Amino acid sequence: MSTQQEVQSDFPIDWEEDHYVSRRDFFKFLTLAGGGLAAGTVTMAALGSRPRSHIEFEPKMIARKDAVGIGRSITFSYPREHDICLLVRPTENEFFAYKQRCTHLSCPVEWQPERGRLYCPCHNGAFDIRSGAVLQGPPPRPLPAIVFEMRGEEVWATGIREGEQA
Amino acid sequence: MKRTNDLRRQQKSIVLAGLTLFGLVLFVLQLWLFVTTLEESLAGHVKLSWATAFAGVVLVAVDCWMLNGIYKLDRGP
Repeated sequence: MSTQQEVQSDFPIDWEEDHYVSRRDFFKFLTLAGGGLAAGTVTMAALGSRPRSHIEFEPKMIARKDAVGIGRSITFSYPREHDICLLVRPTENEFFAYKQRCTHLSCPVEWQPERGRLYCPCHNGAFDIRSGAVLQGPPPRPLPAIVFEMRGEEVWATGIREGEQA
Repeated sequence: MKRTNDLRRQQKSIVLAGLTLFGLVLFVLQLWLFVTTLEESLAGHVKLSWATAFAGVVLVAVDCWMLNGIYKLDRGP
């Protein structure tokens, strides 16, 4: 059958000459499409199971240690100008840094020293200061942590680590 | 004899239509499972995403079993 005849057969001008897909073929197509979707779901689950990555960025000085009082917090930008983060100093020798955007709807979280947690006032979400894990509310995953190191009296950010769900 | 054949043909047609409708329902379920798995894996809920993926595979197995049944129906007397 020539190409022209094939096209005429597949797309006939007269309604009566058109041929329809049989129910068997339709079911076969459904099964094939379902198989594709199942393969997609398995792939998605496998990709979601991979450990969350630690992404390194160019090191940047966040603050001097003495610029953050004990029980206080400061904000800083990392890695880009509009990525606002929070550096918290709950005790004299402890520092924690997280992205300030709540993982629910990106409201800015705030440090609550009296309860030792990061709190999102939009929908009552709260995160543990030590792990960034969700303590309450609708946030679906922990806060991404800023990886930092002490260089003398200075705190330097070196990367971001996505939070693992507990 | 002709009447028996007609009745059997009619019966087969009804079974086929029922299986096709059920297959459509399973397909919609699979679409929903696909979206749910995507959401759960993005949220980091690993166990839940594997559970939905497993359910998707079970539904495909049911689909294949029904397809096999349809072929058997065609080959039958």
